[in-house]
This record gives sequence, C-alpha cells and structure tokens, in this order.
Amino acid sequence: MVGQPQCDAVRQQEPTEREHSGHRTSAAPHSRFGVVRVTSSEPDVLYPGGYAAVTARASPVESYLARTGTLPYNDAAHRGYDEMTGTTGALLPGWADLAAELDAIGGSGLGALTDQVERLLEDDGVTYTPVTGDRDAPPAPEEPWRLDPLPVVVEDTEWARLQAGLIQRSTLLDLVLTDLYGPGQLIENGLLPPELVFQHPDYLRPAHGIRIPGAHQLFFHAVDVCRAATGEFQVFGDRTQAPSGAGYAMANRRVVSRVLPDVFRRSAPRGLAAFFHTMRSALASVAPDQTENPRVMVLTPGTHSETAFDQAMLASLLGVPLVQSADLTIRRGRLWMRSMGRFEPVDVVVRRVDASWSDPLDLRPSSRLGVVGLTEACRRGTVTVVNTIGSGVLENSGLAPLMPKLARAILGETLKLPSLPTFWCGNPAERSHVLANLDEMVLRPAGRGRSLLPALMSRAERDEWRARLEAEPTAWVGQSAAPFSEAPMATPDGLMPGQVSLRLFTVAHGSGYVAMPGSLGRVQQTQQTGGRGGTSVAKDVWVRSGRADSADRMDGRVWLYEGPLVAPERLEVASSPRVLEDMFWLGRYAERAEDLTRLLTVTRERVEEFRFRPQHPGAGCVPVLLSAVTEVSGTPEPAAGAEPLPRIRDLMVDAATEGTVAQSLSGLREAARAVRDQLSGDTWMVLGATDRAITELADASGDVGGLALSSTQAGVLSSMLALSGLASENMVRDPGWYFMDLGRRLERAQQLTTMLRATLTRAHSSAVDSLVVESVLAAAESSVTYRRRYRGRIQIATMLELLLLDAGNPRSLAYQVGQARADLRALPDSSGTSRPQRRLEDLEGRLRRVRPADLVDADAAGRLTELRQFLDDVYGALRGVAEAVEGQHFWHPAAMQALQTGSAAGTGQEPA
Amino acid sequence: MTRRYRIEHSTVYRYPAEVGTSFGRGYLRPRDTPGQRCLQHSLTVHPQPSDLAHDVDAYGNGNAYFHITDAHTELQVIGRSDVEVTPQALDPQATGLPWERARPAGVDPAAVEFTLPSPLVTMPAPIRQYADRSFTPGRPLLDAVIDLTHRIFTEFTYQFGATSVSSTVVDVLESRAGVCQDFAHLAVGSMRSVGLACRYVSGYLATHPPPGQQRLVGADASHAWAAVRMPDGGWLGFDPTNDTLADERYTVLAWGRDYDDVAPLRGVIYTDSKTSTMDVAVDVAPLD
Repeated sequence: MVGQPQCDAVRQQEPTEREHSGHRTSAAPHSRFGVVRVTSSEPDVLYPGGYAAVTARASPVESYLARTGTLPYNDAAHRGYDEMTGTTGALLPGWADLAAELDAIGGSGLGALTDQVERLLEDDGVTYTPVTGDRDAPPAPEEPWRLDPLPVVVEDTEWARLQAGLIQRSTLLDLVLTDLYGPGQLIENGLLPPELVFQHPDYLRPAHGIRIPGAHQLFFHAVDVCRAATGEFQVFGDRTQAPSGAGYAMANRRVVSRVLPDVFRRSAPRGLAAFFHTMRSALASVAPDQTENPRVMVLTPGTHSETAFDQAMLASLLGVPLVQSADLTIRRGRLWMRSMGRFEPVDVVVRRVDASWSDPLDLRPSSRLGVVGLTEACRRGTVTVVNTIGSGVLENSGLAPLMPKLARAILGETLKLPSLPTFWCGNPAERSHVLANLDEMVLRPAGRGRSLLPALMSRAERDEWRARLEAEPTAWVGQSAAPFSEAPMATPDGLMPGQVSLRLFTVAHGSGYVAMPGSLGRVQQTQQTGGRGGTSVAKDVWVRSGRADSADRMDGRVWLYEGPLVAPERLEVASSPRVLEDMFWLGRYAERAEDLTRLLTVTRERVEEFRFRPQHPGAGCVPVLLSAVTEVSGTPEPAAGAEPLPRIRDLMVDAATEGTVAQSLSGLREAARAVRDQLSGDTWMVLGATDRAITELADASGDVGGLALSSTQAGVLSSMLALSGLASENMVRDPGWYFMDLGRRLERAQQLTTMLRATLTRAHSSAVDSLVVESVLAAAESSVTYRRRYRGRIQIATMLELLLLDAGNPRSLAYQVGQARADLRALPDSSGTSRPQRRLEDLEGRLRRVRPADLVDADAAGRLTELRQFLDDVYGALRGVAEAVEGQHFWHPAAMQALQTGSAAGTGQEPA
Repeated sequence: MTRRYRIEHSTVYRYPAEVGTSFGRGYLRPRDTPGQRCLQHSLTVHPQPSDLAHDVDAYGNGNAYFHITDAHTELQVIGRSDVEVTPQALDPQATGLPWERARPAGVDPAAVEFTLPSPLVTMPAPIRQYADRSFTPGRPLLDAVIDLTHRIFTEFTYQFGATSVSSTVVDVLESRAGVCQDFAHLAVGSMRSVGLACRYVSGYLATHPPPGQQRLVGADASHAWAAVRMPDGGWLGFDPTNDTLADERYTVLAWGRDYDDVAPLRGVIYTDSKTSTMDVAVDVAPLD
C-alpha cells in the first residue's frame, strides 16, 4: 500500500554563492516606475549584512531596490540580473502593480502575508516529502510546502521568446529520443558521442521497440531555466524521466491568487488550468488503437514518494485516478486495474515511478513499485506509458553542449534557448576548460546524482576531483556557477533578494508541443555568509497577458461541451482493493480519534471536578474512567500514582505511542494521502486544523488549569465532526465511500463495546456508578436523549437499551451493525450472503434476542458476568466481521520473488 | 566443416508451496550469425502459459516472454532447436594487426557500447593490470587474445561454488576460481579495460564423450564465453574456460554486455514459498 520513496525529485541547481567579499559602498539611485514616488535621499547607512537601513516609514520596495547586493560580486559587472528592474535599474512595467501593493502592505505586513500563505498551504494539504537517501531508513515525514507570496512576473514579449525556445527544445529532444530507441543514426553519424548514451543509467535497453501512438515519443517535458546577467534565459537542466512540479505550480497559483487578490486581478496573469486540459486530451490521443474513452491513470510510487502531493494534484487536475502498483496487473499482455473483483482495462498510464523501477521482470528485479510485464505490454503497444520507459536518458547534462549542433543538424535551425555554459568532460577541450576553471563550475554527473561545488571544497578535495575527472571524464559535466537572477522574497525583515530559477513545462499535443504559460518558480535566499544556502522556496510565476482581452484570457475556462452526451465513468473504476482498504482505514482512524477524544474529554472533566475533593463519594469514578481510557486506547498501563492530567495530555499528543489520538490522526492522514484523489480538497483544511490543535497542546508548557488541553480536545472533536460532515454531505456514494463508512461503523461499535466493558462490568457504589454512567453516556454522545427518554433517572439497564439496542440512536451498537450491513449490501458485487454479511446478520440476531435487564445482575464479588460475557461475544463478533471484510475484499498479493537463475552456467568444460 | 545439432535445454523449478502466478523471459533461441543458422526452434512451457510471445531485444537476440496464471508447484521450460554451425575462416590480415587497431572509438560508434563497464563487468585497476600483461603495445590482436585466453585457463581453477551470483569480476580475479560465466566476465572486462569492444556470449558447447563411452544425453550444459571486435568489424569468439577459440562446436544463443542481458531464463513469481529447487538439463546432439 505504501511505497518506498523513489521518484524524480524536484531536483535543483545547487546554490552558487561564495565567500562574502565585502559590500559595495555607494548604491546607485534606483528610480521607480511611475507608481511610487522617488525619495530624494538614498539610504547611506548600511547594516553589516549589506542591506540598506530600513526605517519604519521606508517603502519595502524602495529599500529592496536600494540594496547593495549580497553576492560577493557586488560590482555591476558581476551582479545577477534583477527580475524586478531588469538591467535598467527602473521597475519593469509588469512589477508596478505588485510593487504598489507591497508598499501599501508595508514592511510590517510582509510577515502576515507569509503567515497567510503558510496557513493556506496547510489547508490545501500541500506537502513535500524529503528523501533520506537511505532505503532502509523509515520514510521521512512529509513537510509543509514552502512558498513565497510574491510572484515572479514575466513580460509577455519575453514569454513569447521563451515559449518558442521551449517548444523548439521539446521538438528537438523528441527527435533525439525517437532516434536513440529507434534507428540510432545520431550515434552512428557521430552527432552524439556513444559514451554519453550507452553509459547513462536511464538508457534502458528493454525500451527498444516501444513506440507510442502519435507524433511524439517525448510526451511531457520540464525544462529548468535561469537568467544570465543580461536577462537572457538559459537552460540548466531537462526533466524527462517523470517530470514533477506542474501540480505544485497550480497549488502555488491557487494560494498566491488568494493572498494577493487585487494585484492578481489587475495583473491578470495567464491561467494554468488550460494546460491540464490540453494534457488530458493529449493523454487520450496517445491511447492504443484509438480506444474510445480511454482509461487514463497516474501511477504513483506511493504516499512516501518525494512529490506525492504533486502526483495526486496532477491526477486530480487531469480528473483521473491515482493508482499504485498493487492496483495494477498484467494479464494476456495487457494492463488491468483490479476493481471490485474484476479487471478493468487501462489504456494510458502517466508514470511517476522512475522507469527502472517500473517492471521487476525486464528492469530492476528488486523493485516493488512497478508492474511485472509492463515493459512487454508497452512494446506490444497494448498500453501507452508516458513518459515512455527510457525517456530519462534525455536528462543527460552532457547533452547541453551539443544542443546547438543538434538543432542545426536535426531541425536545420539555430538553437533559440541556450544552455547555461556547460562542458562535457568526455571532450578533451571541454575537459581542459573545466579543469582550468574548476572554481567557477558546478560539477554534475552526466547520469544521476548530486551536483558538487568545487569552490567550496578544500584544496585536497579539489585535487581529488581533478584526478577523478581525468579518470572517468565521460561521466562528468561542468556547468557555469554564475549567479542566477534575483527577485524579492517576503520575509519578516522586509524584502530580501533570492536567486530565481523556473521549471517550465511542455506537453506533446497534436503535431507540436504546448507550453504551460507559467512555471514552478523556485528561489533561494541569497545568503550573506558563504555556505550552501538554505532550502529553496517556491514562487508562483505570472506570465503577463499582452492584450487585456486576448484569447488568452479564456485560459482555464472549459466551455460547454457541444459533442454527443458523454458516458459517465463507472464509479467502481477507482475501486482497487488497495483503495478500498485505505478508505476503510480512513473511516476507522477518524472514528477512533473521535471516540477516544470524547472519552478523554469526559475523563478530564471528572478529574477536574474531583481534583480538590478526593473525599467526595463520587470521586471513585475517576479511577474507573482512567482505567477505561487505558483499556479503550490499548495504551500501556500508567505508572502507579501518575498524575491524570499529564496522562490525558499525552494520550492526545504523543504520536509515538500506539493507540493515542495523535497516532490515530497520523494513521488517518496517511490513509488520506493514499486516496487523496478520492477526497474533497476541504479534507486537508480539516486535517490542517486538527494538526494545529494538537501542535498547540504539544507546545503549551505548564498548561495551568488544563486550558490548552480542553481547547485542543474541543478542536480535535470539531474537526472530526467536520470530517464526518464532509463524508456525509460532500462525497459521492461509491464503493470507496461504503468502505469508509463500514470502517467507521465497525470501529464505533468496537470502541463502544470496549468502553462499556471497561466501565460497567463491575459494580461500584451507587454514587460512583451513576457518575460513570453519565460519563459513558456523554462519551457516547447520548446524554441528551437519555435524559429526555428516561426522565433523568440513571439505570444501567436503560442505558444499555439506548446504547446497545436502540436502532434509532446513531451512536448505538444496533445502529452500527445495521449501517454496516447496508454498506455491504450497497457494493456492486454484493451477493447478500457474503461472509461479512452473514456474520453481521448473526450479530443482529443476537442483539434482537438480548434483554438488558437480564445482563445487569452483579454476583457477590460485584461482577456483572452476563454483561461481561455478552460484551466479549459482541467484541469477538465484530472482529470476525472485520477479518471477513479483509479476507474478502482487501487483496494482498503473495510475496513477489525473482525466479532463481541458476546462472553459473553448468559445467561447460570439456572433459580433460 | 559445417555441423548440425539438435539442442534440448530443459529447466525445471520445483516449489514446496503453490505459486499463483509466474512471469518469465527466456533467451533460448539460437540466433542467426554469419557462421550459424537456426533451422528450427520451439519453446514449451508447463503449465500452459496464458500468454507466450516471441520477441527480439535491442541486440537482435531472440527471446520469449511467458505468463502462467494457473497455480503450480512445478515449472518446466524447454527450448528445442536445430542449428547449423559453419566455422568462419579468420582473416589473417585483420587478426594480425596490432590489437590497438581493433578499438572501435571513432570508427564504429555502435560497438563503443561494448567497451564500457556494465552492471556485472566493472573495470577497476586490477583488471586493467591483468589485461596489460597480454596486451603489450603493438602485439597482433589474435596473439594477444589467445594469450589472455590461455592465461585465464591456466591461472584459474574451474570450481563450482567458488563464486556466487553477486560475485564481481574482482572477486573472481582474487579467488582465482570460478565457472565459465565468471571467466567470460573476466575476459570481457580485461578486453574492455584496454579499450576493445567485447561481448558476453551465452550458448552451448558440443562435448565429445571420452573414448569408448556413449555420449550422455543431458550431461551437457549451457555455456558462456566472450567475443572481441576485430579491426574489420567482425567478432572473434574465444573461450577462456576451455582455452580455445570458438569454433563449430559452439552454438550461440545470444550476446550482450554481461550475463544479466541474456540470462537463459529469468522470472518473477508470486508465492509464499521460501525455497525452490532448479534442475537444468542440456543436450547437444550431433545431427550428422
């Protein structure tokens, strides 16, 4: 269900700053374009860090533009291009609206802006999962996505040039790819050095013979660009394996458009949604044999993949299911998805599993992320996988220096979008250049792996690397380490410069390529110290639309479809056993978190009530409830004499212990991530609020009077209610929903049974029992009904009537059993007599026959043995149902193994 | 002299527990080469696969894909082929040139692939040092190849269990022991380390029974050797396991960069079974 992290990173250029070499002492005056008045006095006081002094009154934009620069190259000749002012020093027209807004917000408002962005990202559940690199290590936890509120603005004339260069690049690389896995002319004719291709880890020999329908073999292409000091765009990397980031770009846009609504409206950047519609139709067009209504899916390595969010976002933008390898299988040379006991054909797969991991038969045998036989199916053309298996060979940084020659030879054109100066060490002249200028280079492997910065190495290390470049020249590439352009970032200290790069996207469509009119921007704060700089932060990228009413303004709109009536996708299409199981656990964890929070809440209230009145006759209810907490949560017995409130707090926040609320919430989040494409976006808002409530409590030190505890309990409870509201009002009733509900019903029934068993099967004093019953009713959310129905008179038998048998009480056991049966009946493959259904029926019969009055007699030792027996039986029956559901619906494949290859080819030696 | 053989290569897997599904790929069809023709070939798989397809890989090797969906505890794969092998006369002019002239760099870009390291054949310094002793400057190619072949034959012990599937070429160099596959890898690595293009070749060797004894059916085995690119672009097969050049006793199944490219049989099975046994029987029977 959950894969190992293995996927294309949103990899990035290493930061390029070096030792700080001083400050420029005289700042040239910057004039501002129109909007904001020019102050007569330029700041002349410098902070040690090199930023112009910021006074409370000063406009943040002015201060930013007056900065002296933070790079070591502070003279104009070395300073990077400035996105805001270009090479002129004056504010560029596209930035005017944004600059005005920033000045209106003021320096102090920038912090609030970044907070707002953080909050919205959390509500949208936008995350990034760092990859530890160690396959055996437990998966790293996901981290919040980081986004700067300020967009990078690209003028329309610049965009037009950039777009033409991009499309040319995609067209060229497509032809290279087609040749590499086809005729091989480029190598044969000496246009491509053979080492560059044959040695590349993503040149995959089993991919020979794969040819997807349509005009192109390169389907989806991402290009990383930066700007030279002249403002010229330069490519520093291609992503062709399984490009990531388009989903993030859309997530960025959604957040930035909400935090800067006025500027967004005025600037009206070109929309991104149309790109995904183009991609959707492009995907349909590459389906095998002109399949009508082809089934398209996004194949993800799983929720621990580095860019799991991006994959789910892409699936949702394309409107297609997100699947994992366990959902798919090859039969009769075709790809199928397991769905409710049947196999549904799959026509097109958007592959987000790296190619070498995508088929244990013909590629990496140890992979658990792939589909056995997928390569064979691709070669036969029964399924289209994009990007094609083998496309990663184009991510070869050694291709960069060859691009101008290839453009001339293959397209008969001049290369429109140059590369950042790049030198392949396999070529002796280029290698000498790299060796002679090692300090100005970023060293990049031609294959996979990290980049290195010789400028930051010791002399000995540099010498080692020189020797290595000489020893394995064909494996290394040197790329200019010149600084990228700078754009402002919002920080609590005002606007700070950061170095910008853009990841641009194209998709093959019809006979050409279509570019996304926007980008995943990334910015790295230009550090004042040397060192490698921090992590990068994303930026939205606004491509200005030339004319206010151009056709572009219609971007992102889908007009009424005028074709024939569209046949709906069958709902069960996205119901693989893996999805159903995740939905089931989603329901269970949500209910578990809710039920334990309710019990912990009533327990806390009792603890507080009797804290200073230990002699009160009712005080004995506290230990009863505390031991119920232990039994219901299944957590370890606390130490004797442990303070109750800290324990209750721990049971809320301690995610490391099995059975706590925090642990259920993390299970809930994990399940939700695995079925992100099935859930409404609001789910993440709710989960975000839950996380905040838990974090608040975890961070609260010395929680006097338990205020933080009670507020967190209220917060978690209201989030769980919101979640069940979403489930009941906002989700389509498909098999996934029924399994989620089934999980919730079985969990609630088990929790209730355990709670009753822990609180009521031993008689206490009348005072204690009456308080316990009240608390149990409160924890089962049935107090009001009980008071009304039984006129406030507390009896165990009547309480059992309401909590066990009243089919009209949505918190009762009978109700859960009835709903669980209804859920199973509603499944498309329901037979009415399946094992789980029969077991539920038995339980229902049992409930019909029992009379609460017969259960509540205590023996001489105060034990209610009949009740105990009954609740034990019910609990056992519920477990049986859950196991039967698992056995019938959640398919777990047998362990996959490689066939032993006796290798060591026999004797093979001539007898002497 | 042209020779014809009828070859049967049978592999049987036995599992203590049931295997639900099994996927496999076999490289069991002898390829056509300038000196060899595959007259007839069939592949039989038990139990009956629900899918069986013949394919040709990036190097032109015939291979087959199969998928068994019936549960089974025994899997049998049998390749049956008739081949005709004609010895190729060596061009003394080409093989007599200094070995340096056989390097493909700059003249035969496609062959450069076989000069590069591959997953099972890396070329650390000890390999180069081992090769240098045979490949002295200017030595005629054939001379150097025969010398290397002979050195591997005499300096290494043929021994089962000396190496495992995960052994590297350096392990073999250090342990001075191995089986034909290890010697082929060592030869391939040595050739590549001096810039020559060298292939790993999978196939069969027709054996002669000791004088006065019957040829034992099934006593043969699959075999492996190497082939180096000659200055004229042809490939010269040599067998360090038997200290000989590949001649009409050798039937080529497939070639690639190393064993993994052309393993006679590989696969993926779905089972809870923890162990399995494998029996291979090869019979190369002369047809004339």
